[in-house]
Amino acid sequence: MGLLSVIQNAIGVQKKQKSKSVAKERLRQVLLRDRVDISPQFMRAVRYDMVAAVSRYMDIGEDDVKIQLYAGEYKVSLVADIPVLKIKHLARLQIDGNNKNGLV
Amino acid sequence: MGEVIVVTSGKGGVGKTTTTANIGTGFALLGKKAIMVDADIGLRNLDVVMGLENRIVYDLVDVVEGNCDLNMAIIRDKRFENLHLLPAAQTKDKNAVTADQMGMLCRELMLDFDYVVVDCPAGIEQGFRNAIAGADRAVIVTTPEVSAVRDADRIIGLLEDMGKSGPLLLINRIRPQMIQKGDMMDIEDVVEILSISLLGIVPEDEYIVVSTNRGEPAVANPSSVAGQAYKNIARRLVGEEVPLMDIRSKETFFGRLKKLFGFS
Repeated sequence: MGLLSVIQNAIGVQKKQKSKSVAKERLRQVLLRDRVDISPQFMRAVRYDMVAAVSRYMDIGEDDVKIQLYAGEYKVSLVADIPVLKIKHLARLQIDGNNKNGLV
Repeated sequence: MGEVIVVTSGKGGVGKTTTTANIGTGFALLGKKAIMVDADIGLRNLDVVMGLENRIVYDLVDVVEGNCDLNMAIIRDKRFENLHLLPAAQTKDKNAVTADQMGMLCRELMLDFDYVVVDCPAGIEQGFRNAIAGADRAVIVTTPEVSAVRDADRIIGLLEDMGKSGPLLLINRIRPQMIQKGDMMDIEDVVEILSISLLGIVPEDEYIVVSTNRGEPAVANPSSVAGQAYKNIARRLVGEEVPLMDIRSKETFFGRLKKLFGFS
């Protein structure tokens, strides 16, 4: 840090941000958005497979399943809202074993 | 058996054709038998950049359509032993050559040449997909600018989807003084954002304009800094270990003084 910035910091005058940092930050955000900008067909395929996977364990309100990608500030998230109607107890038995939970 | 390298970028005007010309010539200067293929059908330019525009009789589309033999369309560059050009058609449209035809052509050229360097059209449409069909490796050209890096990212994603792994990054038109001032993204910034392996860097160099004017690739000129950068890049592509060019500009006494006081 040079003398000038020490003085500037001391008296609270902020130096203007370097344009390189602005470019990098803008790029980071725009790429985050570009990378989640995918086709409806692609999302339908993801949704189809997720419904199939979850359905092995629980009955779900298939028509009301909502799946979406969100670009946050630092990461991309896949957010799924899947209404659960009923847990499949047979599947639970097979996985948890007979003795756990006292189920027969 | 040779190797097919495609030079691509997404964005236009970042130096794909210049890069193709210099890498191709660089291979020839290293004693490799090389051919440059202009896949930018309808907008051919590699011929003028190479100064070979008056030697064209047949082109890529003639070969594919069976109007001539492959050997009849290939131009041998008399200035550089081992260097050849297969020009694009200027009058046909981008879809005159299909991906399958391009793949077949590249396989045929691989038998005869150590390196096949394909100059890809800008954009992400069919022309791009056709051009990369026969490629073993891709070189992504970008400049340290937001728009070029964004498009490079798009191309990297498309190449990944098409099963072309391990693209290499070439950062072109770097201005060391602007980087020092904090007004241009530096090499690490761009590599970090795109997260692919760095093949090389090419500093901005006015001589590139001169070399294009004359139709003489800069790589053949030992006093051109960009030319030397391209020479390093060609050497890395043939498997040599070459350190990155030191692009830091020489600091003046006054510059150091300014930095000390925080004015830079």
